[in-house]
Amino acid sequence: MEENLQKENNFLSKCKSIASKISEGWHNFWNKPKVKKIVKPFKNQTFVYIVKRVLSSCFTLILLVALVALLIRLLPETKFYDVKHYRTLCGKDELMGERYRWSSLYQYGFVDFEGNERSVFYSMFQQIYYILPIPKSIEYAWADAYCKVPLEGAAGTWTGLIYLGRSVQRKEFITDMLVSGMGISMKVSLITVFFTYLISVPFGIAMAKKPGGIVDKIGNIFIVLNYAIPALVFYLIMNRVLGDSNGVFGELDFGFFYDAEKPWSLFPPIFCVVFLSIPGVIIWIRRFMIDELSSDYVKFARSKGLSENRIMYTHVLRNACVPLVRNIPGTLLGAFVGSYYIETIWTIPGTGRLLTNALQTFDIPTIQGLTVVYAAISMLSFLLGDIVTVFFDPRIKITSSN
Amino acid sequence: MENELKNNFHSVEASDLVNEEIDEDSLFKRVNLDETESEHIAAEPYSYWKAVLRVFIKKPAAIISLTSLAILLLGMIIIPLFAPEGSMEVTANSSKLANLAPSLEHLFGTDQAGRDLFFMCWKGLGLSLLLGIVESAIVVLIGTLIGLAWGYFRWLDRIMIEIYNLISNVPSLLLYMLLASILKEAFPRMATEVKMIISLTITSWIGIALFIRNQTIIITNREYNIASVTLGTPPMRIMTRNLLPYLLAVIITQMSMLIPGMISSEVSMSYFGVGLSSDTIAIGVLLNEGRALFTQYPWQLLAPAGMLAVIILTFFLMGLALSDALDPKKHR
Repeated sequence: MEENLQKENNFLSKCKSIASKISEGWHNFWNKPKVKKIVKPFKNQTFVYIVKRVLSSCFTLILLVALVALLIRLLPETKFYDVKHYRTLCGKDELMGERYRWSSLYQYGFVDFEGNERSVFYSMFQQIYYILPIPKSIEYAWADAYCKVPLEGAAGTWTGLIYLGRSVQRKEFITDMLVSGMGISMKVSLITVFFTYLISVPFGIAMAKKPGGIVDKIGNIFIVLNYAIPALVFYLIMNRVLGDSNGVFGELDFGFFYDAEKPWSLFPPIFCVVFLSIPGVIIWIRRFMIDELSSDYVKFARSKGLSENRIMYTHVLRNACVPLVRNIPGTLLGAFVGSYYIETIWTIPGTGRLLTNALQTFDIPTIQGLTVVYAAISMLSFLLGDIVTVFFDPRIKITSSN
Repeated sequence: MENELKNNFHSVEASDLVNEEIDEDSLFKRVNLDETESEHIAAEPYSYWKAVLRVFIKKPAAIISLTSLAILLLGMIIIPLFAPEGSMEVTANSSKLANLAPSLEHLFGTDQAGRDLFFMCWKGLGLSLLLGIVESAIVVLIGTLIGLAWGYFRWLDRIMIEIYNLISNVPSLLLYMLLASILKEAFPRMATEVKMIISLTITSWIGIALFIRNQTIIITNREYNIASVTLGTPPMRIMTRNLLPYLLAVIITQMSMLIPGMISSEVSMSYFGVGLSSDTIAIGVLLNEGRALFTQYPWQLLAPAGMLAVIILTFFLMGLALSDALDPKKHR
C-alpha cells in the first residue's frame, strides 16, 4: 500500500519536474533574441487586429457562400428547366427526357456527370471548396456537350486558384466576364468619383463657412430638390435630352448610347451620376466642418488671431476629412462594381449589369460567383477604411481586444 | 455685498452699546417661510413634447411638409371617389382613349390602355403610401427591439455582427426573387402586396437595429444611466425607462426617412419585375409601365415620377424638421 503511494508520489514529482522543464524551455525559447526579433512584428496590435479582421471576414465569406448555396437549393427544381419540353421529350423517349433534365440541372451543379442527384450539403461544401485559394483542377462541360456523355469537345478541365463558376446564359467563365467588363466600369466610376468630390468639397466648405448665409440656403434648397429626383427617371430624361442629335445639345454629338470610338459619349452618364451624388457628399462635409468649427481648438485659434481662411483650410478641413477618408477605399473598390442603371440605359459593356442580368435570367452560377466577389470587395473596403483612418488620424489607435 | 453686511453688523453692535434698554424682539421681524412660494420656479414649466411642437411649428420645412402631406392624404382619399366610371379600368371603348396627351379632360393624360392617369396616380399613391408606412412600421418595430437587446447585452455583438455581414452582402434582389418563388410555392393564394411586405421587411430591419444599437451604447455610457445601473435597476426597466424615451425621437426621425425609401424600393422592385403584379395600381407599377413608351408619350412616365418626387420631398423635409425639433439642445 505504502509502496504504491510512494510510487505515485515519485511519478507526480517526475511529472512536475518535466512540466517545469518544458515551461522553462518554452520561456527560454521565446526570450531568445533571434526569436524575439521574428515575433516582434506579430505582437504589434495593429497587425494582430488586421489578421483577426481578415480571418473573421474569411469566415463570414464562407458562411455567405454556404448560405447562398442553401437558399438556391431551396428553390423548386422546375425553375431550372422547361417542364413542358421535358414532358414532351419523356413522351417520346424516357431516356432523352431524363438526359435533358440532367443536362439542365448539371449546369447548376445539382446533378453530377452520371445523373446522380447531389445533396444540399454537397453543393454547399463544393461552393466553399471552389472559393478556397488552393490550386485545383475542375472538370466541366457545357450543357450542349453534356448530352454526348462521355464528355468530349466543348468540355475540359479548369485549373487555377479561385473558381467562381461559369455562366449558364453566356457560356463564359465568370472571371473572364468580370475582367472584360472591369476596364470601362472602373473608368466611368473613377471619373465620376473624382468630379463628385471636386465639385462638392469646395461647395460644402463654402456652405459651412456661414451656416444660414446665402450660399448655405441655396445649397440646402439644391440638396433637398436633388434628393427628391427619382434616379431612374432622371437618367431616362437625360439620356433623351443630351443624346438627341436634333435637340439643344445636338452639336456635341453625345448620342443615345455609348460608343467606344467616341469617348465623349461617356459625358451624359458621368454627368448624371455626378449630379445625383453631389448632395450626399456636400451634406457630410458641411456637417463635419460645422461640428469641428464649434470645438475648442478653433476658438483658441481665433482668439490667437489666425485668419479665418487659415483656420478653415489648415486646421478644420484636416480634422473634418478624417471621416471622409474612411470612405475612400470603399469608393475606389466600389468602382469595380459599376452602376446598373447607367450601364443598361447607355449600353456600356461593364460589370454593373452582370449581377442584375444574371438575376433576371436566373443564371444561378453567375449569381453565386458575383455574390462572393462583391461581398469580398465590401468587406475589404471596410477593413481598408479602418486602416487608412488609423494612418491618417494619429489620435485613433487600434486595440486588438475590441 | 459682504462688506456691507459687516458694516451693518458693526453698526448694530455700536447701537447696542449706546442703548442697552432697547427690546431685542422689536429689532427683528419674523419672516414665515411659504412652502408653496419657495417651490415656485421662475422659468416656464418644461414639457418635452410641447417644446418639440413649438420648435417644429416654427420651421418652414415643417409647414411645407405638413401641408403637402395633408394635401396628399386628402387627395388620395377624396380624388379617386370622383373618378368617372371606367376611367381606371380597361373597358370596351378605352382603346379609343389610349395615349392621350394631358388636357382639361385628362389632367395627366391617359396610358396605353386608355386609363386616366390623374386618377390612377392618386389611387396608386394611396396604395404605395399605405404599403410604405406598414413596411416602415414593421421594420422599425423589429429593428428597435433587436437593436435594444443588441446594444444592451454586449455578448450578442459577435452573433449579430456576423448576421449583419451576411445580410448586407446577400444581393437583396436575389433574396426578393427567392422569397417570391418560395412564397408562391408555399402560399399560392397570398396577395402580392403581402408578399412584397414580407420580402421588403425580412432583411431591412438590420440597418435600423445597427443604428439603435449604436445609440443604445451611447446612452448606456451616460452618467444618469450609470447611476441607475449602480442602484440596481433591472435590465427591463433600464430599457423601457432609461433608453426608450431617448430613442423615441431617433426612431420617429428614422421612420419618416424610411417611408420614401420603401416606396423607392417598391419602384425598383417593379423595375426588375419582382414587385406587385402589373394589374395593381401603385406608383411603382405605373412608373414601370410609363417607361416603355417614354419617348413618344413622356407624360406616362412624368406623372407618376412627379408624384414620387413630391412624396420623397415631403418626407425628407419632415425628417429634417423633426430631427431638429426632437433634439432637446435646440429647445432653448
